[in-house]
Amino acid sequence: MDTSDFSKPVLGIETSCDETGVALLRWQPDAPGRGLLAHVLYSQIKLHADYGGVVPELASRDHVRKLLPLVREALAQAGLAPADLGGVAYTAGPGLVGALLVGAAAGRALAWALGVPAIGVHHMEGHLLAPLLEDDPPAPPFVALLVSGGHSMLVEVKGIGRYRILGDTLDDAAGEAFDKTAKLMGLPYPGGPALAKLAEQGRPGAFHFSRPMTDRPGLDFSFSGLKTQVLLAWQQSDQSGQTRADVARAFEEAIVDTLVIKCRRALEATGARRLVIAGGVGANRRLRAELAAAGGREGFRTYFPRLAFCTDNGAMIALAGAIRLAHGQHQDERIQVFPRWDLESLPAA
Amino acid sequence: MSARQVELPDEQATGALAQALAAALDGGLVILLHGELGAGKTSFARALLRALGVGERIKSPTYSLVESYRLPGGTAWHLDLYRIADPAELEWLGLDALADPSALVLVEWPERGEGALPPPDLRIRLDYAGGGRRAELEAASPRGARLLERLG
Amino acid sequence: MNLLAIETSTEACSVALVHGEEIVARGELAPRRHAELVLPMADALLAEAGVGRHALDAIAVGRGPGAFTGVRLGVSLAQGMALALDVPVVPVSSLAALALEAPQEEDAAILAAIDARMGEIYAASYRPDGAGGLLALDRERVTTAEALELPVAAHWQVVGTGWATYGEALRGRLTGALRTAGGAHYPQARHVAVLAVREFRAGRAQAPEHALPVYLRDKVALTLAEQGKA
Repeated sequence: MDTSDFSKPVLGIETSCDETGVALLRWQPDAPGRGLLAHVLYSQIKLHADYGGVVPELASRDHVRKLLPLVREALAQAGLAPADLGGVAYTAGPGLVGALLVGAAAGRALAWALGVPAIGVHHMEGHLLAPLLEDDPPAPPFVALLVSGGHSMLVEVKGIGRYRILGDTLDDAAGEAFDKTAKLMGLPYPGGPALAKLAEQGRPGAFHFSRPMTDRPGLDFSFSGLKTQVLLAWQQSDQSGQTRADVARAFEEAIVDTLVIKCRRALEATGARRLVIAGGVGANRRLRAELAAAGGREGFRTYFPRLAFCTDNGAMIALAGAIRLAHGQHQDERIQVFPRWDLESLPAA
Repeated sequence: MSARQVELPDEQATGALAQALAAALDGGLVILLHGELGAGKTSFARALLRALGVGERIKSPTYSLVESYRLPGGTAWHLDLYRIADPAELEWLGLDALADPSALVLVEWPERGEGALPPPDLRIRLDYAGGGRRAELEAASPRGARLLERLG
Repeated sequence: MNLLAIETSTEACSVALVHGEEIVARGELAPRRHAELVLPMADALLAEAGVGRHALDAIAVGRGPGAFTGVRLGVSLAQGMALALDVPVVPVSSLAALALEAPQEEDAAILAAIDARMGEIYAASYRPDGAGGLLALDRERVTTAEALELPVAAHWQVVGTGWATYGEALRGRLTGALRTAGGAHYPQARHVAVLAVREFRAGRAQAPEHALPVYLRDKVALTLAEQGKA
């Protein structure tokens, strides 16, 4: 992958959903730490918990309050002034339109005032490239499993902007299935991580749920039916604490097994030997352990970015932006956001 | 304008109504879906889109407000305005295409988008009825009335 | 002084530049296209006046009330510019800017009313202060036209899209004779600029992170507990 360095610090801004992320990166693929100078994040999870889910208008209002203080904090961490910046990268989509506009407008205006280039970054490209922020990064071609509250996707990565979607969910994303299942067993929003924790106390084999869409060829997922199976099992059970943990365990195993099966198939179909795991569900311990074990058995390597770069963050946006800026790509002065944006439509770099 | 009522005791009945509606569709239509939280608006929209041949992922548009799908005869738009705070927000989504007469437009919580939506052809009200649901279909334009006639 | 003003809180998008004693402005009625228009407009004004970006002393912005997304766009733009240039932001009421669209006559009060949709308006009333500025007669609020309470004044000028949508109801709320009314008026950056210069000179410019939107409508969703009650 040609990842020419971009010698001046790039400011990365992420505001596509419910996390405000800001980072500064002087991109040097061969330097220790890759040139990451600062990385700060504000999560709105508490704000939305009372509403049982993300309220887009409240998310936008919070981004506008938090973004500038975070930019100042990142600059202070890096010991830089705005005038030291060489470029600005912001998430231009996909995501919530009002939330995207906050980061895009502030970021584009900042670049305009400084007279430096700016670039709108595809949020999912940020996730795909996040492992490049780690030591010993994967070289393409590789397969990426993107699993979060909003996405469950398998993508073949042949280079920057050379992406092919191998599989996608037909309904709920994996993280969404975790949250919804947690909710129907009475755990507060966002219940996914709590459900995974509960699963650690569950007894293996007490319940069994099917592995959706693994009985036929193909790389697509479907998780909404699993939710119904869990609901039935839960309603017919004694609903004790131990049962809740048992159900959680069986549910988590069903999701993880399904993801592992599809990852193996994707590697087989593409001939790639490297697998990158990204997105919030990438933090799941069972998923990490099972994929690493499968890799050991079958001879493929797994790459997990650190947890902070699995979930939404500004560093991955600074990175994807810096790589594209280094290739001379940038945005003109029209501020544009794309709430829906096809990953495969991105230009190669 | 014409109207009718359909009992939907289970998922199969919802699927059958969606199939019938899909078969009767002739070009674009603007359908407003009314009903409380959990009344089955998203399930119905999903069933209709599947019946029309959408093979890709059908997401709930609760957060994105709008999702779009390619259909053989045009584009389908699925809107859920439950979490919209200001109808003016719709203007930022670039929804000029909703006014395209060949577009199929499905809107959940349409009352929250008042003034920013194209005029409706059909209103579907979903209510709880026993263990299942009841759908009331009401034409809101000549195009909607013709559709109900074809539905038989 | 040099000051750049942005107003994007309604269907109208405009930018103005104060350069010494002069004000130049550009604007367009362009729903949805604000984000694409603002920076090119600002470039054109700066080039026309021969002012460099780094010569700007402050950024002014119509901070609402208005369409939420538009208000946030303007504020975010102003914040980004001001942070980069290390200058303050002067937030100005979009209703006050709108009030300057009405004829400025000292014996008449001005009601500025923006259609807030969902059956309501954003409203505030003013009187010209005789020196090119405004005195506020009441607070900005979001209300139905029918429930609008106005201070006593012998004559009224009404301005804004609130009049276009709820003219009849508003007429019934006036406490004096109606002198003029214009429904096709929007807050404009040139008026944001006029008010901002006065605020700036009065020492009321702010650090960019403290210049925040004013929405007025703050209850935008129901919590789980409230949904349960409903």
